[in-house]
Amino acid sequence: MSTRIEIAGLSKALTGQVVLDGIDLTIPPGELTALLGPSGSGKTTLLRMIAGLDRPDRGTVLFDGEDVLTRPARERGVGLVFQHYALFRHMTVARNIGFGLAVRKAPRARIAEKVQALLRLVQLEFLGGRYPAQLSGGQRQRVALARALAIEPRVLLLDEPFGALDAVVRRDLRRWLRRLHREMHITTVFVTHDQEEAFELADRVVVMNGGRIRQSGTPMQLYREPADSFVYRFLGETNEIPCRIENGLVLAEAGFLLGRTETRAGGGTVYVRPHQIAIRPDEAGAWRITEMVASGPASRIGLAREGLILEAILPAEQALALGLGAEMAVEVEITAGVVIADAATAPAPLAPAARLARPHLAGQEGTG
Amino acid sequence: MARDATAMALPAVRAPGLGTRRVLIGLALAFVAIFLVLPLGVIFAEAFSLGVHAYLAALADPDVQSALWLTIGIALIAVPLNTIFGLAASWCLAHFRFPGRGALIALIELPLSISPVVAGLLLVLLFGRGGIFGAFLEAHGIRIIFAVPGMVLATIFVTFPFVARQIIPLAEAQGSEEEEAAITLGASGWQTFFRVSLPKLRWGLLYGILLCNARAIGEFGAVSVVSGQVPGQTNTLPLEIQALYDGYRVQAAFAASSLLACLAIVTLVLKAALEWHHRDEIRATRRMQAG
Amino acid sequence: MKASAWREPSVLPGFAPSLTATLLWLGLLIIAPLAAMVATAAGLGWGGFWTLALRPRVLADLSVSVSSAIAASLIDAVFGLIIAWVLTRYRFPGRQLIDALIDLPFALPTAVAGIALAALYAPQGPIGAVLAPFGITIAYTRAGIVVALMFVGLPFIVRTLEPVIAELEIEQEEAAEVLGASATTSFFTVLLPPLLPALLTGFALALARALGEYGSVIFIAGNKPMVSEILPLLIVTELEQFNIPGAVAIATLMLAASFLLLIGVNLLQAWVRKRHGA
Repeated sequence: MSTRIEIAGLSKALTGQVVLDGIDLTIPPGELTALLGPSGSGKTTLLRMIAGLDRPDRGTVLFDGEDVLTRPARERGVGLVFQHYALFRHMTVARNIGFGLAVRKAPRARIAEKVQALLRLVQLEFLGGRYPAQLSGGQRQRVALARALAIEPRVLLLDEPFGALDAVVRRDLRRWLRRLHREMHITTVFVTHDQEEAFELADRVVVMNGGRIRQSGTPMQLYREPADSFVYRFLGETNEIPCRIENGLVLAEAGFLLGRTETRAGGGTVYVRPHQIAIRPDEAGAWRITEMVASGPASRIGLAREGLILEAILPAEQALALGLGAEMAVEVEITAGVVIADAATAPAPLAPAARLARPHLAGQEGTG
Repeated sequence: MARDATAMALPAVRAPGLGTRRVLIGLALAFVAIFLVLPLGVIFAEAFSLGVHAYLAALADPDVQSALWLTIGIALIAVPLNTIFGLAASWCLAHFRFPGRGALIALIELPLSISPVVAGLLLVLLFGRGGIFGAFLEAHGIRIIFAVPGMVLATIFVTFPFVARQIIPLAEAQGSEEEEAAITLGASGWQTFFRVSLPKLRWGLLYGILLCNARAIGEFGAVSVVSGQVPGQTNTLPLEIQALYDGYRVQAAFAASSLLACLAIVTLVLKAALEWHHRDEIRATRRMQAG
Repeated sequence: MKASAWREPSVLPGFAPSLTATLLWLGLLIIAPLAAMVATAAGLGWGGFWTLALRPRVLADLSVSVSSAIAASLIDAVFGLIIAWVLTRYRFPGRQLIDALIDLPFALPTAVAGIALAALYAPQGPIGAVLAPFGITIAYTRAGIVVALMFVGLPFIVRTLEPVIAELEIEQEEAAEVLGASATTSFFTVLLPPLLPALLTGFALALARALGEYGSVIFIAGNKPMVSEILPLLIVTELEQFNIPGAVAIATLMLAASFLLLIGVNLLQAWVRKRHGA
């Protein structure tokens, strides 16, 4: 019962504003896909178009090769979980879940049976008689999911499924949803602005911005080979260092060496994540620690050299072991990162300058 | 430390406050007693001033009886029609955005700021003799003004914002997500309306109907302009009360009034109960609630 | 389900039928009668209209209507403020009963209110008899009109003020007290300013209602032309004498007044929204 979704050339403009601009996307059957992007990137609109709640100006949406744009939302067979759940406030949990079957005039006994099975599935067996207002956020979320699953949808769509929940509930629900998807194997698309959530849950992540798809791939692909600066920035904290490249050497504007790359020459930008920076105390070091903030398991360290300011993150124990502190002189090495030359759009990997001997390194290779 | 300071400062600062509080509560109670409770009390006092027997006799008067039934009949036409209109208006105004939406809402509220007498006059200008449709109606032997149809129209005119203005802000505040959810789950338009939208609005709707009904039963100015004021035929209860009062049958007038006063009390009790149990839903619209 | 260009598209059905029903109902009930009125008023001609509208009796009744409505709404504003304050800020036995009673003028038919007030304030009535020895007569004078208009206007003030008072932070008053402000100073400098827009709105709503009020007034007013006769009653009198043009001229004046008040209320609320956020 897994459905393949094929989207081609999907575009939409509202009052002159481009919302979606030529979206092409194929979602293989049974896959769990995340639409990731900042607000206003068009991800929710894309989801609502798959559901049939919004109409594109151009383009096609196929479910297993069948054009569904001509079909109204109610006949499309999608299960949609709304961001704020949109539970029917005047109905009990059981009647909420059974709604889709009731409007299809299914026999009462079958509805009751199905509702019980779904309540078990979402682990709310004893709450069928409650009203939505009497449930916690996480419970509401599960009711919304059960309601969407009751109609045995071809495709399951979730809009910011964990957006309204607190951190602990969010983590538990994420794992639970992952397990559920593995068991049911239903083609699932969810929208999120949280890259951590997308990476932890999804088989495939689609990064969107400005109504376009910037990159689509497995979480590992995206993290290792971001297609452009937007994707790189969006997938985590980053230091951006203007640079120039001479004979494969990447130099900071002040002239000191940052690392090596394949590109031969020209200007560009180095992107380095805070944990891709290694630090070693060195009285003769050219770098200075400007500030140090311990936030739980990690220490955030501000570094400065000749007008350049970087932020590094080290495990707190390591920072402690190295005896790092503010105003200290240190040596710094960038262990990984990417360079995007002005002449190019695709990033190239940045190799360490290898001036520091490996055993002394405090940081570690950052592969996430 | 800060707490200590407040605790010590409190008696000194609060002492004059308590006196003010008593004076203000006293003033409020006195005003309410004189201007609201006394008028309500005097209705029943006057109604029973000649004893229970006279009271019942006044109510049994055929003209009063026929006025009572006419009043109920008019309300039974006006209130359901205005309820249907209110629901239609709330559907298109709360779930859709289109140019002219604001103007439409303003138009719906308009009758609230028109004097009932002017409302009656408007109908006379349309349907009265010499009115725009006057000649046409006369030619076909249809009587609207100085007859029951005109009274129904006048009541509808005066009461028609009551349901709509109660549920439009409520439906707007509740948004369209639940309706969209129903549609994706396979519900048709009517199924969505009857199973989701209507139940969602039910308490606000009931509240609006309650206010609409109270005004429909009690409407005086507009109806009096278009009614022929023939006792037993085109007198509603409020008009009959006027006829009795002007005819120096004061006790009978108050006996008939006591029926409407009871209805007003029932309305207030139901209204308070609704407000108490469904505060959240009704609060959304209460600020503008006035009639 | 074709998306029309002139409105934002929605997946919900039923836009066209519900809008059609709304427009039809509005057209029949509001627009057609108002159009009839405008047509009739225009038919009087500019000069004709003003001749009818500026008759001495109209002007005298206009001044009775306007002055009584303003007086009643002002008294209501003062006592309405006190009542709204007491109901939202203090807890005392019977509070809910009084809260419910405030809406009595909405629920009680105006004719009933009218004869009840007349009975109370008549010289031999319970209140009239108390006042008579002091030479004060209320019923069948202009004072009677004011009393009736106070009755119908009170809930507008109280109900407009209540939610605003409830939203006021008590801390502000306490801060003023701690800073050493006297009760009077803190009332005028801290409390009144944020309430003023709501108070004005309530006043305008009460005034609009009072200007058009008919049922509760005619029983207690003396209805003596030029002295204690209100404008709506004059319209009824003109109609009874089949003087439709005269009635239309007066009604036009009243409609213009209520539109002006309505616009004033809307501007006031737009201003408040802009200043204090939605």
